[in-house]
Amino acid sequence: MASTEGHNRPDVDHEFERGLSAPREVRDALLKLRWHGVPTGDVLLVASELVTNVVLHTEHGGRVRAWNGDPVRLEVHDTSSRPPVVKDTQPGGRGLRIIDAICSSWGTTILPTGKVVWAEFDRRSSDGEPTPI
Amino acid sequence: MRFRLGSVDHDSLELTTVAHDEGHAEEHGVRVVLRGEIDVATAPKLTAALDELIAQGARLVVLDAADVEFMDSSGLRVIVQSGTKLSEAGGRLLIDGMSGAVQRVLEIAGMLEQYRAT
Repeated sequence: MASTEGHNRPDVDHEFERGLSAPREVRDALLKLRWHGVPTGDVLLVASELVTNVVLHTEHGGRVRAWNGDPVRLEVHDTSSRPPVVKDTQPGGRGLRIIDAICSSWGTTILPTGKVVWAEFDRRSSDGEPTPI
Repeated sequence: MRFRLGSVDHDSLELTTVAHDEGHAEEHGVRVVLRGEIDVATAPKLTAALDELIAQGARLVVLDAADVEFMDSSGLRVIVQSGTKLSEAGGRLLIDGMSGAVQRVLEIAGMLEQYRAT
């Protein structure tokens, strides 16, 4: 699967098979890290939504890569070139709205072999203000 | 107890029906205690359980979600769909007891006030 240029080695790099247990498996992998300045629950939630989309809407599994930097960045690679759709009536539509609400930015990069949906989280301190670095 | 699911086990979600506490001691009411994770793998179990309770005549279904460690939009879908089924039958779905994970998702979806029991 294509790698994303301009980033260092990911802190989490996890391939998953297409199956209903994939979101849980990915959450377990992400739980092994202490995420800096971002609620762990939010990282798990966004990853779960993205991996669920792969499981429901593509033919194969995929790969999760995550960077515990500033910003925290998640990438979910899959083998379908169809971009995700934000629609409440479709499975996954509510999920993308959740991602939109939590993440500072997210987007899709279409590749010859599929796509990468990426999401970034701004670091925050516990009181919700951006953390000075 | 009038309504029964027994205890439905799944890898990572456990559901148990219990007698209503005093605050919800209404006829046709049932309280379902959830423990574990609600995602694409476990949501169908929750849907099936709620469908079963509705088929048995339950009209006020109270979910106790205090011990739900994780929930994503798969769980949200179950809540919305089962809530709609109950409303159409003249009933209601409420959530009494919310973990932070459940509250976060409902808050983002703008559905916290609609489903919160108190």
